[in-house]
Amino acid sequence: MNKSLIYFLIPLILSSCSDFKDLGLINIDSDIKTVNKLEFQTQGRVNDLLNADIFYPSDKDGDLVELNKYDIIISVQGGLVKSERYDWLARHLASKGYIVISPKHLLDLAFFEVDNSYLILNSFLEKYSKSEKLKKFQGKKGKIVIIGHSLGGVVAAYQWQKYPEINGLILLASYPDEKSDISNIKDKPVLSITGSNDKKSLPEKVRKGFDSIKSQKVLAEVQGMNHYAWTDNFTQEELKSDGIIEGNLTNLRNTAFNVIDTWLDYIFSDNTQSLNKLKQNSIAGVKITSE
Amino acid sequence: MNKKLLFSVLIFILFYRNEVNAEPIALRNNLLNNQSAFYLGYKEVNVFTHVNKIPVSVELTLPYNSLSVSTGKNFILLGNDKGFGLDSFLGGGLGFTTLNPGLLIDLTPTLKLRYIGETFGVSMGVSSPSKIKISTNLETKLPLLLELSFIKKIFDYSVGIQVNGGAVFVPNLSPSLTFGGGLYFGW
Repeated sequence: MNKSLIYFLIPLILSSCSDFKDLGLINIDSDIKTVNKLEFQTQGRVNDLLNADIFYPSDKDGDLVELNKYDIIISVQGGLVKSERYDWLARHLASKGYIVISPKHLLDLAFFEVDNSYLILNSFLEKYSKSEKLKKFQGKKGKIVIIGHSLGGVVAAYQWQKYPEINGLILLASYPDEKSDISNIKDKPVLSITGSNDKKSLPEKVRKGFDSIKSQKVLAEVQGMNHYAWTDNFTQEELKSDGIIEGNLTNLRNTAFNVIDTWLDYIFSDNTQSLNKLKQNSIAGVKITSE
Repeated sequence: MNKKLLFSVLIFILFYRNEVNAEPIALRNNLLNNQSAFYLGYKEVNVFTHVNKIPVSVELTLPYNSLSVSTGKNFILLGNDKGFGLDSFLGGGLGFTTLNPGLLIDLTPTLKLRYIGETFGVSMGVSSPSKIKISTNLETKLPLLLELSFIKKIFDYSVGIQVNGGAVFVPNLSPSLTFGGGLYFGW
């Protein structure tokens, strides 16, 4: 082979193997002991560079653990809140066996780039095989749920309404845009979960948004939780505009996990017993309404 | 440095996860008719010069290097070389995307109101650096940007600043927002 051609091909080959960057293993106190985090880059809107973090259940070598199927959760950041502040939630969900995609947005405002979630999801489904660590995903794509906090929930609701590939929606301290008509969506379940002390997404507005949803739905109010308890590293400035956190933050989050995990089990595994558990309103520390 | 190694490095830079814009942003902001200029932007580095009187613009995109080549021409619609005027700029270029491989074609029409004095120029206008990407399918993108530029002559050089922002329209997607800007240095 012509040597000059080799000099051309080698860097071209090397440069094409860099969609995923390993950010390292995370140890979890859970049935699945390890979660790995990858940085994913792709192009969308012709040539915009799109970034996302991918969390997934892994073995000690960082490879995706073998499961029968892989359900996907897309996590949309709240307004002006860095996506890394939701890593605690992504790690937990990945430890339950889900692949979590956490897209990034211009200036941390999902409103600026509403379709980033959808573009990144599609690109991930095309390109996951470029990462050796995700090879086991082949042929095992499960269902897709989108979750959003605060303004991120508004964007998540928009994606849930627009794209049939998305099977469910979780609103964290959020509600759909009042101007958008979501009453036409009747077959994709919704979990709306908020805190009783949330002074940013007021419980009555969350309730009003919940009432506008015509799909099968659950509303959960975690007693003592405020708006920024859904994020890590909240600042004093943020807390000034919010209600107080009553009790231990870890315990409140565990209560929220109890609700979210149960609902996801219902969505991903068609486990009606999980839905019944929520309907019975028997989880301590939470007031649950379901329809 | 070994020429072949240098060639390899340049090719690597060219193709390493590039975000290709292929638009002559420095050239369309050449208010004081510089022969050559360098533009350091939020998302790109851009250089142009004139080769046999034809402007040629080369752009590297940050933070992942890419290379594109483009050209363009400014047309005075109203006014003269100096003073108030209404100008139109039409530019175009070619590039390659390799993160999601494809051929990129850019067409950039611009319309701007400007004032050019003896030692400075200022403009405000609308630009649409539109793109067509040819790969396994055809993709198109139509940004609509408001641009503001200010360039000042200092001795034999020109120094300036440019900012832009606006909406990006892609078929079947919701509009997104974009913004950018950079520093201009001409001679």
